[in-house]
Amino acid sequence: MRSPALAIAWEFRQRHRFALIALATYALAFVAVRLLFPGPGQPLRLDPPNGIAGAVIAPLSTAFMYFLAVFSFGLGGDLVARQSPFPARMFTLPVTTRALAGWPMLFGTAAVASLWLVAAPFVRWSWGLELPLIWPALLGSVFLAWTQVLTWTAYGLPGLRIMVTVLWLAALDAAVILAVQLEVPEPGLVAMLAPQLPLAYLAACFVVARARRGEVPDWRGVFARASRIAHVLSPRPDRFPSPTRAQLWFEWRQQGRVLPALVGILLPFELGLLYLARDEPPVLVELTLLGVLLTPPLMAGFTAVTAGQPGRDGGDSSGVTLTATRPLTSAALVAAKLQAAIWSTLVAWLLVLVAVPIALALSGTWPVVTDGVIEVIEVLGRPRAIVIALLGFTGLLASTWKQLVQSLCIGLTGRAWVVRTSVLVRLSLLVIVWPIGDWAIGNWKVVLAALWDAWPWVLAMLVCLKLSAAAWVVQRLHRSRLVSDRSLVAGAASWLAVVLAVYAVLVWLVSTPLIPHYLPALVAILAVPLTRLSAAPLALAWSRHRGGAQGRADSESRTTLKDRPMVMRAVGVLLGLPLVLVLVEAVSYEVRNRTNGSVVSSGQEREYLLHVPKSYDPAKPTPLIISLHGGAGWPAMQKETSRWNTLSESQGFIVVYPSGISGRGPRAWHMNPSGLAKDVRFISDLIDTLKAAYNVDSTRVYADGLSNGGGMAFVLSCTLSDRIAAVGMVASAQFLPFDWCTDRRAVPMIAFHGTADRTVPYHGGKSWVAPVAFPGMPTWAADWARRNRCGSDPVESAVAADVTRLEYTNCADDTAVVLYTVKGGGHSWPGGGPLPEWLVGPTSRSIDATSLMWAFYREHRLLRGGQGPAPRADAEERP
Amino acid sequence: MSEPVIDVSGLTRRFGATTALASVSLSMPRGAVYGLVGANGAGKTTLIRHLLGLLRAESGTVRVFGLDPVAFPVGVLSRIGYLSEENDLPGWMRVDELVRYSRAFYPAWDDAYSEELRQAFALHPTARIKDLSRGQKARAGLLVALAHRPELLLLDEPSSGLDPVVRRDILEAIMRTIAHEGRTVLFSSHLLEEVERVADHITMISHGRIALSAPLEDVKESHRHVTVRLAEPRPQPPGVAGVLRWDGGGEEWTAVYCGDSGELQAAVAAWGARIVASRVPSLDEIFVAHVGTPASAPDA
Repeated sequence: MRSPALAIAWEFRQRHRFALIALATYALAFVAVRLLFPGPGQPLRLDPPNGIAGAVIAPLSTAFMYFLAVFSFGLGGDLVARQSPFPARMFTLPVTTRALAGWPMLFGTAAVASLWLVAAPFVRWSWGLELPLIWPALLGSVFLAWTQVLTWTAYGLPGLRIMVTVLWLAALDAAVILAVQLEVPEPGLVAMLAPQLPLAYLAACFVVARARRGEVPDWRGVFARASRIAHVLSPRPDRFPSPTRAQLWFEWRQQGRVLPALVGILLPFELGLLYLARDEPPVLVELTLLGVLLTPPLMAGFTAVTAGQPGRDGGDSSGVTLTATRPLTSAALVAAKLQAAIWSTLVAWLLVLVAVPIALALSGTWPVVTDGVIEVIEVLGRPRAIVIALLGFTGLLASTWKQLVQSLCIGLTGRAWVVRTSVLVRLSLLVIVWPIGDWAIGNWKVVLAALWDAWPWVLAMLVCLKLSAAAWVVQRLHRSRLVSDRSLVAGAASWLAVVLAVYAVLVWLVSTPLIPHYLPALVAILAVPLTRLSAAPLALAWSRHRGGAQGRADSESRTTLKDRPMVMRAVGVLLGLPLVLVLVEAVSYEVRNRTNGSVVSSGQEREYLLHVPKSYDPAKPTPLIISLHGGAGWPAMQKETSRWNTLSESQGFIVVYPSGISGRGPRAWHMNPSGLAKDVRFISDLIDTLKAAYNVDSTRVYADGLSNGGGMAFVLSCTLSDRIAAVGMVASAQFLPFDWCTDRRAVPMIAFHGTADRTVPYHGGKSWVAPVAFPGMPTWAADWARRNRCGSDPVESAVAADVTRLEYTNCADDTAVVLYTVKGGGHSWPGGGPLPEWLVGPTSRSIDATSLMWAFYREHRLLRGGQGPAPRADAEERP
Repeated sequence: MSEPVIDVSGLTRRFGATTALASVSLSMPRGAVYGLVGANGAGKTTLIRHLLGLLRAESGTVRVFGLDPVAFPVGVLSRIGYLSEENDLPGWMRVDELVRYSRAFYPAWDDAYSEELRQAFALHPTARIKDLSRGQKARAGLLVALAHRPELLLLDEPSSGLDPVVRRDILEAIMRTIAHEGRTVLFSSHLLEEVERVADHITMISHGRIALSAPLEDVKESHRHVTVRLAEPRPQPPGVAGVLRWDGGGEEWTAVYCGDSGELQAAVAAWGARIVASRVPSLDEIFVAHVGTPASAPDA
């Protein structure tokens, strides 16, 4: 190498050749993919904007940030210290300061600009988007140049570098964004950005010259007095009561303040967004707050960089050997580190808890938060809201601590590449999560369908992974005798206790037999930290006593493991108990909720749950009741809610609960033409099948349903009016307008609806369930009365203190239309099985919808030729 | 007290392709000063790290105070005072914080003695370690190592890069320690004149093997530095059994010899040469003779 410039360039290239190779490989792979799959309909669908985000923006941002770090020498230097991180060894080379400052800047700006100049034409070629070429490349270069200048400066206070750099770059960015908003043309942007490059170069020369002369300002004297006062005021114990307390103090001073510092630096910027968003829709405020709440766990992952790293220039080492030579067992050392992590978590969260209310008050966005809270309390009820808030907060604390422990383990490996890879992975995840989240929210139906049946399996797999990893770790712990046997068993027992406690709270929270209990159990198992916690002593011992290739303990300590099998058995039982619980719950749930029949309809297997009463007599024609479950329900749930089976035993009719199509998301009755046709076909085939197997009275087949099932009952009354004698609907959700129904036949209808139904409002309108507005029930009943050609004066009567009955009389073919209005009733089955009140609202006990429905059905039959109901002949059957 | 303080047997350690220690066996009874000498990369630090439990024995056993340092860190480390050449004290700590922190770990910590040392070493209590000079940092480390009056003082090249004043402090500390009954010092160094001054026992390590391990007196007695004048100039030195190293050229050669001086006389005379000078070699010369690359290969 003959010139300093080439030498400097070579050094950059050589040290970071793997990153460059990775980048080049990615670009080539992409070009290859793009070349091999031309045209529409290719298997790799990467449509804009999300395809661009995933395939181009994320790697581009990662590469940009990496270049920023590399060319400003930030990777190797101490960014927090006052001194410049510019490599001091370069100052003794026979190179002018201008060259020292200029070449890295030149190479850096060239690298960043070429990133863009490669990516933009690629996007243009792949997706036909015309992206500007010049000014974004220039912006990237200017960004890098100023980063270099501000990083190479020496500051008077530690930590000032980060603040100044971030602030300056944010201001630059804001200026550019403002210019773009104001639609400044490209030449204007170029004119704004281009002069900054020579300016930055001059600044860099100045700054590097000062660093070369070793001029470092020292403003700490200003704060020295303050720290002295603090020192005098703080009560300092004369001696530590125990070695573990001393080690805890050491860990806190060494490492514990990193997380609070990171959080403290980020908080003002994030909370500043609140001020900007106060006039915007509340969604932005909520997103900002969400970001703030997620900051500590995310930042906890980055502390790996400073944990366990050997000292750099010998003056400020991190005390790895010092820690290792403490006369403390490895278990005690780890305990000190874990405790320091707890303190770290608590302080960081204290900062958040203090800063957020202040920011909310200052920016005037309190109302958004209070409104949201009130809404949640209204929906869920105060005790549940409080418990959820507590659980959520504890979860965030625990997650932050888990991330800290994980970073500790990563840092203890002592391998720089492991640490750097973990940081890079985190950064990339951060960048990727936004477009993916955006897409998921936009396509939530697809996501829901895919996850609905899959997520118990996903959770179960994660649980198995976690428990196997934990088993391996515990076995190693046991063998290495790092932790005493008693501690192992006590630890496993406490984990079990916490898991059971969390499980109990979750079950209470969800409190319905409808959500299978094994799901909260799985969540509880995954949520409570076990593996990372127990791996920490192993990681520390590995770092402390660097074993050889075999790392075998010598023969004396190999005494054995055979002596202590009881411990492993005890721990295995304790850890495995929740899994057993999950299995038992899962099996019992499946058994309780299984269907007992199926029929092939429209080429698909459709399931149903059939109940034939004991008193069934094949000689007598028996009525058939078809009861349809609600959206996201299933046959057994409808059975429990409607309680038709009890009445079926006493009254002697057959009851069947058909199931919506399963395997593609929540089961529901479809209202779109093709799905609807299949569902109607299914009911028709079901009636045929049951007629073939049992002596079903064709004139007494009835259909009713809850919510979406009620909507389906309406559909059946219009499509199968020659087979169904009467319909009932409870809290029905009508997605189709009444005039969709073109059938002129009169069909008797009985309906129940609560006035406090938030899911399907009594008087109609929109709700959280669907984007369509539901019709109001009184209007619906009136429409039906018109269909049945009833008289126009309905009779209203009070049936109970909170229930009124509206009946349309003088209808054609002796049909009727009856509407029961339950005051204060929710989206539930009056008198039926309990549904969670926090979800559907109150369930009235004043009437029994099932028996009232049966009484109604008994008065109406299908006439042959469909002329109308038979005369009310069964007087003797009346109760 | 017949149980040796340090008992290493068959210890081998490889780092990748390099063998740092090759089946090393040592036994050091109490109450003496042991000098561990060797070239850079010979294996001294590796051996000392095994004694501290920082490295786990791949094969062979390591026992300090009869205990395995990996399995019993508390029992071993609480009786050892350790000072290394790398400064591993955290820069952010102040001297008084360092004392307070270290004191918590050693039950035998002597407050009065620690204060005495601090004043003798002129360490200001509120000074931060990263602001101390190199010598002061070494003194701070020495304070922590000495103040709990350890049974075993382990020094890993403590004087490297230090000025004579600090080196004198360290030597004095060693001598003070051995003045007490039953205390042991093991220190590794390549400043051999210092080792000569204080060590009772010398162990030389070369390429991971023990080249020599004997009391200093015996070593000095058994080695001699001779100047030999030959009858006529020769390109190669005469091949005399027991000579470890020849230097020089032509007529006059110097040699470091290990063995009986009478035999040497006879052997030299057999080559027609005579011994013109003979003295006790310095430890430096003995070391280079054992361990260094030969300046010239002798004739058979």
